[in-house]
Amino acid sequence: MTTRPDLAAPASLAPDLSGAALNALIGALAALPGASGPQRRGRALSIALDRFEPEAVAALIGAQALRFLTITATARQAAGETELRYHLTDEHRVITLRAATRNAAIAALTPCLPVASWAEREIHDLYAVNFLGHPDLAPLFRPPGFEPGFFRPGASGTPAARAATLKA
Amino acid sequence: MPYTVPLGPYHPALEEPFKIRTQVEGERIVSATIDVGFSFRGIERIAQGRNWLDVITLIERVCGICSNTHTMTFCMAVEKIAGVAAPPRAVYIRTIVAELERLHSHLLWAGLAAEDIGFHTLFMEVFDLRELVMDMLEAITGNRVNYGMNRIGGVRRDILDPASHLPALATLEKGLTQTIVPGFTQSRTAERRLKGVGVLSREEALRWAVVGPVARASGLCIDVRKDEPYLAYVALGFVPQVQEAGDVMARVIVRVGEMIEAIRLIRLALVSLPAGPLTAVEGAPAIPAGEATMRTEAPRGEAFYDIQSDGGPKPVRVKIRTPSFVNIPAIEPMLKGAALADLAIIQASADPCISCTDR
Repeated sequence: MTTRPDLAAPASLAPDLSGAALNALIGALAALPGASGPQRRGRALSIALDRFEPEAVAALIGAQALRFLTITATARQAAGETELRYHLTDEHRVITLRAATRNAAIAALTPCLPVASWAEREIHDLYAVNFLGHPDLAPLFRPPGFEPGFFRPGASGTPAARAATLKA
Repeated sequence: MPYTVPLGPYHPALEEPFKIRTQVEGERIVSATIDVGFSFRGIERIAQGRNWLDVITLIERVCGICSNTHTMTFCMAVEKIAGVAAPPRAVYIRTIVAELERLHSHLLWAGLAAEDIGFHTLFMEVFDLRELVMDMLEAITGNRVNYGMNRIGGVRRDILDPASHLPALATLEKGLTQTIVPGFTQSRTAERRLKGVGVLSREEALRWAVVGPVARASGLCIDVRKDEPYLAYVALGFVPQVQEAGDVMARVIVRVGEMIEAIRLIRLALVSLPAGPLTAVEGAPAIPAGEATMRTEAPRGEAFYDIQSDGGPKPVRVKIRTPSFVNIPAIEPMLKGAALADLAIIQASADPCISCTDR
């Protein structure tokens, strides 16, 4: 991981990136495999990825001295698919990488970036996303008796839903 | 041969239910694994079934300590989508309540930390001071917890007599500097239990992506209030608190410094409270299609919201990433090589909030 000079800033309000540094960050985002964009919304940056390559994302985080924030999962209308937003920060803005599952699966970021483990385990519990290559997708929040994906619209994996099906 | 010592999920040393499974050789912890999820409520999913105003009431229940952080962060994210800017008086009132919340959260933590090391006298002193903050919060918001202050576009209540709160701040500052700070930093009892204990190095802090006082106690000068400023922090000249040692004592010093800084910010905000309306919009504003992310500095560290709207009466997605969600896993490296007797204070030093983490 590269040195982060802004983290050692004196006890005053740290300046935002200079124009050149911001352009370098935007260039690095645009160079990700399958990237289109990026879009700017205020300070925030967002980029769409039509394929998700964890090694490239981890390399970006290391090279640009970014910090992993979390992943937002949103169930898509298409059966079983999920939009995933990988949120990063350079401390001055939120940087969002957008990807989507195919056949309810996507490559796990955790093998390249262990700090993503809990976020991926949570999404597996709630949205039944299969993170390929994750070392341990053990339940994080999923209560006993619940199937993965119980946050999805019309989920049938809850004990109550299964009981209702049996009654019908 | 190592043996397993479990702590939790229900244990007197834990404020809320989570589980730490330690592998121990003699009295030394070799490794630790953490389990959460015992308070899972599915708040993000419930939020998708409620209208924009009901969500505010719901997410105030994410946490009983930093409840204001959640409503404030949510409202500011929604204001981004709606293109609404809270008026200056509302911005200052939000800042005052946010810093009062930091004070009561850090004082709660300091009291519990004192209790965890058996320093009950200090616990009593801290909780006595904390009542002053709770009284101020009750006077300003009408509630001791779940303040109901935030609305989309501003705040719900005014501070009618700002100067009336200044004497309590002076008493609080005196108590902190003359009793609490020496209690933690000059007492041999506290020093021997806190110094060099539960170290999280700067490199580990980066690797585990910790936030808030835990990060700042490991030498990382990250704080959303300075890095991506919001509310009135630039106008008030906010100064972050950073320590290098990475041990429990460093986390104490960072939090104590933040309390003194919070008092300064609150005092300055009270005496310079701008005149004007409390909200930019009346009634329930229509929220257009759009999306926004928002970061704020909660007492325990960075809170992150990702809000998505399709223009309908309910949000499509309310994603909440609380600071404890990233700080709790970092308890594992803090515990490696530690004495089993220090397990309670080391886990407490991360100020883990399970209600936030589990949502």
